Amino acid sequence: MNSLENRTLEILHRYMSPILARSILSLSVSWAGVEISKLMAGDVARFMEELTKGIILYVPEGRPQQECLENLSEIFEETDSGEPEEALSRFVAVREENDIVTARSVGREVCIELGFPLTLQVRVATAISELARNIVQYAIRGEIIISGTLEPPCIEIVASDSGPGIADIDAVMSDSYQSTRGMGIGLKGTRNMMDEFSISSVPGEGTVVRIKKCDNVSHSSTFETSMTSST
Amino acid sequence: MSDIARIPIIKLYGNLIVSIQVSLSDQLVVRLKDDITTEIVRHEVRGLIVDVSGIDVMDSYISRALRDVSLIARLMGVNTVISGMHPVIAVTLVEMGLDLEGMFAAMDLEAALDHLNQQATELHELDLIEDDVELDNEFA
Repeated sequence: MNSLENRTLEILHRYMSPILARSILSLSVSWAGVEISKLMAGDVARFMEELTKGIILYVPEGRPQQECLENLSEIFEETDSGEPEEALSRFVAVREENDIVTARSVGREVCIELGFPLTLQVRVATAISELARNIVQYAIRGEIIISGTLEPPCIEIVASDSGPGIADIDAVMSDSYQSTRGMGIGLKGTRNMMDEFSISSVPGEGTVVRIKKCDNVSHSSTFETSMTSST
Repeated sequence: MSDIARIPIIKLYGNLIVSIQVSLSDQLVVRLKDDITTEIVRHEVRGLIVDVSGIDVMDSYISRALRDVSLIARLMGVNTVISGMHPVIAVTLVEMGLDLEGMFAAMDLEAALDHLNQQATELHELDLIEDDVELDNEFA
């Protein structure tokens, strides 16, 4: 996993659902027979060709399609010019219970690299643990992408799976929800801890949860508000 | 099944001590519940201490497991004390909105043992008073 893959996904996300973006990316990778983490100058053209096929299929013709392709070729040109950017980005495949531990320790490592204080490290690790646990329990397999930025110091986590999906997200996020295996508070709790939280799910296709936490001064005040609101 | 790790349960002064040092998996939790009930019956214990000082991340699943264990113990007449929770984890739990209701918490193992012993003494004294009352009634 590297920044290139993240950036490709990010561009694709603007034009399609995260699930679709991910499948187009992984299909392009396998059809082109390349490894995105070690993309050589010669591979780029082949990979771009496969990616273009997917984009032509799924992105509306005209302005959006053109824009999408332009944005993508831009980031690949940067790769060609060498100088790989040292980005804090990690990928964890989640298939079994042990991967939950791996995912949260990787998250913690990224936090440490970003210079996050211990309280934030534990929050992020707990949130990752919740998301990974959900993948293992409900979707069997999925993946977690953890990426960090130094300016501003933020960590973003995207957990996606191709599991059964959540039919009624509002119900799961409601106060009265009770799950069979947890406290019924996993996703709600994760939302409470994070600065940003978004979830999208298509029954039968999968679920994508995106969370973000930044190390900012306003953090202490959010903690106080959540404390008072819970009383 | 013996090749799967299990969480050791130690008996000390009439209490059971469980120290959780590893990440709890489904299997471990099921086994722990079984083991605790067996040990409670076997040793006729007064209290159960679950030491969580080795836990670095406590998510809703682990909280649920701890709550279940404590509820099971309570139904068997045994009080549970959670000991050694890292301050940051306490903060995180509150922020998530999790509550380990019905469980007494102590700073460390020593405090947990003190609490259980004190409780046991009080109960014992209460028993003695009740016995006295019964005796009085018999003589009356």
